[in-house]
Amino acid sequence: MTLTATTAKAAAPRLELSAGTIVEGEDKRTDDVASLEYGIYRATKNRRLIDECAEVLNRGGVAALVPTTATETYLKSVAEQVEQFARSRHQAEGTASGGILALPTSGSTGTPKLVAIPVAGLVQFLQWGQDYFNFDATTLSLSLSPWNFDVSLLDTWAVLSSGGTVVAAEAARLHDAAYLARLLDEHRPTFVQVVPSTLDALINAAGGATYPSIRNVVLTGGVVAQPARAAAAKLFPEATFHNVYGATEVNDCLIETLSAQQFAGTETLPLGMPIAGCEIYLDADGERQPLHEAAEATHGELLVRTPWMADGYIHEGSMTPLPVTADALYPMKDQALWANGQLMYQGRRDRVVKVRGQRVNLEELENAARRTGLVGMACAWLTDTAPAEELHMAYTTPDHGTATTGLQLRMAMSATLPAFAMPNHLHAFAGPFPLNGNGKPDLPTIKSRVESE
Amino acid sequence: MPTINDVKQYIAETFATDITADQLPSDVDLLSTGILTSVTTVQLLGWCARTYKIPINTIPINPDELKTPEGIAGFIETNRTDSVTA
Amino acid sequence: MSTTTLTDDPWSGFLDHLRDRTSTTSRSRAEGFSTELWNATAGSGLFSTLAVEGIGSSGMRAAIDRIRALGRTSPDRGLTFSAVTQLASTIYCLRAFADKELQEHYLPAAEAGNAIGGHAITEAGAGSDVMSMSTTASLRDGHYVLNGTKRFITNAPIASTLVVYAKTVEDGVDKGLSAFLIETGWPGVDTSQPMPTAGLSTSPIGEVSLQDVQVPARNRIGHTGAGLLILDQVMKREILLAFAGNIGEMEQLVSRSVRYVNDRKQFGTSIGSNQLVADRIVETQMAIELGGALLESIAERLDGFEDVTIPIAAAKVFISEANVDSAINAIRVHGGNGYLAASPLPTFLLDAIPGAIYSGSNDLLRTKIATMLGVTS
Repeated sequence: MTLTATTAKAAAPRLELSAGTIVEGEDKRTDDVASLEYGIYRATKNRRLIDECAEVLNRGGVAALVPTTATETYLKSVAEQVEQFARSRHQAEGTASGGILALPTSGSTGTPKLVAIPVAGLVQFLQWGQDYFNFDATTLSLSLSPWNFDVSLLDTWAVLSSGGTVVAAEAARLHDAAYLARLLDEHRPTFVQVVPSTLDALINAAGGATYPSIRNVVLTGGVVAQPARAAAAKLFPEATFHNVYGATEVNDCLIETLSAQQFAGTETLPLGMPIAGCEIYLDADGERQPLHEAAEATHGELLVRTPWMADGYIHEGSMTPLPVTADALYPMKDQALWANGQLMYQGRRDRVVKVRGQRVNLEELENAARRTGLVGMACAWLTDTAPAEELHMAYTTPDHGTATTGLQLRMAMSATLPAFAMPNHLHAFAGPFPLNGNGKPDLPTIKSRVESE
Repeated sequence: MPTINDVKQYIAETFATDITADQLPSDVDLLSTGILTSVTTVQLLGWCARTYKIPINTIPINPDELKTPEGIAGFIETNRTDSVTA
Repeated sequence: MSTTTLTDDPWSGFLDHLRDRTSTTSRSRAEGFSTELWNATAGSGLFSTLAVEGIGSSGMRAAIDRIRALGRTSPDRGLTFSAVTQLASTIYCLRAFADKELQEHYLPAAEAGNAIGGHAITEAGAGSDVMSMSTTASLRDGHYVLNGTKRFITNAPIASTLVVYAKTVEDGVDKGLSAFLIETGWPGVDTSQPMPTAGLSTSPIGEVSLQDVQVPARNRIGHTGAGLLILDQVMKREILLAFAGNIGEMEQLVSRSVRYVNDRKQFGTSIGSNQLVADRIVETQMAIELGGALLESIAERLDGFEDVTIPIAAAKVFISEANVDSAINAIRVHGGNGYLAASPLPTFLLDAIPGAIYSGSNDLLRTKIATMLGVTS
């Protein structure tokens, strides 16, 4: 073992998670891969996992968390990557640069891509969470999401760091209404973070019961329609609600705090204001401005800079830096509208297109088609031979159904869509859509089939 | 063959290729159903001009007239200068 | 100074007057728009050409001939450009699309040249992408309220009227683009911001800001939503005229260059006897023949039934690019003398460069031709 020369430097930030308590959770012994410099763990919700992770990270090593349900092959593949990366990193810089928490990004096919979160930034994030939500020894957080998801950094790590208690619900049992109800009744948590699917699970589990012990509810990871939010407000009558926006690469960056009434009643929740230390920019047609300088009614793509950005991705055994701009801003690939002092989500960037000067959200177009009841699946795209930009939509026949004529479908869709958002060319698919690895319609294949007709 | 049938045929062949001419109602709003756009309307006018000898560079055009197949047929009848077969 | 020529024809008299003027020097260019020259132009009857000859093929042919003559004779290319704008944006537009009442109200002053006009189309976020303009005209109690900002508007700083193209909103519904004739003196209209440019400096160009401008419904030109169709026709006329002016300017370059290469002697002979030098002039003349013939042919076809979009785009791209090449060739033919600040030739070049930009960017026009030919991307 080579001794690296120590240079005088400030003490590296440390994770202190031992003060908190974990209840419930799983006690399975699993086949983790670990050494001094790295650890690859299945994200089983127990004390030992947290302790081992923290230890590796505080030593300046790399700790990777994989889903508890991951296959052997997947685990091995991640382990190989992390080992390779940790080794080359150690050779290059020793442990001077601090620990790295590696979380796999969702939805990748092929070799998994791990987001590399540096400990220094992580500690700052945990501090923010603790301060904003007043976590302390009396906090009881219900952790619903798996611990390989970045959301757990707030509902588990930040709570443990403040000395609070985490009620670790087994992610696999969330649809067991009785199980969830018992957790709520028995432990009376004060804090819960939900994503749309886990909120649904809670609403189902509760029956008509209410849980006044909950003082703060954080909603993240997606848009929830007003009816579900109204149900949530009934479920947690004493709670303050928070809509949080972020991504694994940058953690959380925007927060909107609302009363139960506002949470339940607003048509669409705003994205919120920047979290302390975070900078938000809007790129409107090439012009990039900080949010507070943007003109009224600016549509643009969101770019952010947070104090807890990932260093990059561990991929094929080495670190590829985050794809940031020259001024270190991370493009979120989401469109937003800044109006009346509020930031509103407008859709994924690649699904919002400009047609003859008007913004069209392709997802809304597809939803409008589905709402007519005349199609099964719908898939829309734009062909842009300017000036003749044209909207295309392929569709399948509904499961229970009779095929529709193109005219019927157009007439039905025109009831809810403005003329500029109507598809100009319709393509009926006899069978189901070809799907890609994520289970979503495979647009390139659909397009080439249409073009070859 | 009545003008309106030619119009429907042209529209079905050129723009809404998934519909046949006889499926197209004479009073369907072509713009609100996405079959025509403000840009392809210009293309349609070019076809009218060539086919029916309409001097589109010099006559005033009301876009509301061109919203339906029967409106387009009416516009053609009013402005055509080719010899019309009885 | 020439003797006053007794002539019934104010137009020939005007051309004679122009021939007597010295070329615009950098000093006079710095003075900007020449009111004196504008008034002389107005007095020639140029702006009544369409009233006399109509707005069809014969009217456009007559206007093209006159603008080409202006380009060939005038020392002030910026003025030619402003005159073309007057003819296309306001006079042709009103004659072709406005109702009688609106015509009677505004044409007399426009055709007398007393009221200068322009058209406001371009915005910061909408250049070639005209449909993405955000200036709005909202219908309220029988009149329209206009809001928005336009820029790169020729004649705006000196205009009395402007044809504004805006997104029309009626009952909350977007009805597409419409054209409105507004007076720059109305409350809410601000044309005080000029935009100094590298060339065409005697043609004022600026921003137009519209803040809650109340426009009577009768000032809407043509039907609601007809703005795109009107704009298409107006731009065709603007291109025919502006690039007829370019052809005339190239003719000026040819006559200057021929004179120079005959006079200038090197190695015991005129430099014109060097075929490579002479060829620079020949290239320009060929472009004049081709461009001029195409413009005439398109004007002829206006009365007909065919779509002239491709020939117009081709003419514009060809002439504007040939104009720049010709100006460079003229400078090269003149050698060092062509590069002096006192020489008008560098200003020909600066004035020729925007031809590839205004009335439709050449790069996009080429793409448009490809699309219209059926080339898929």
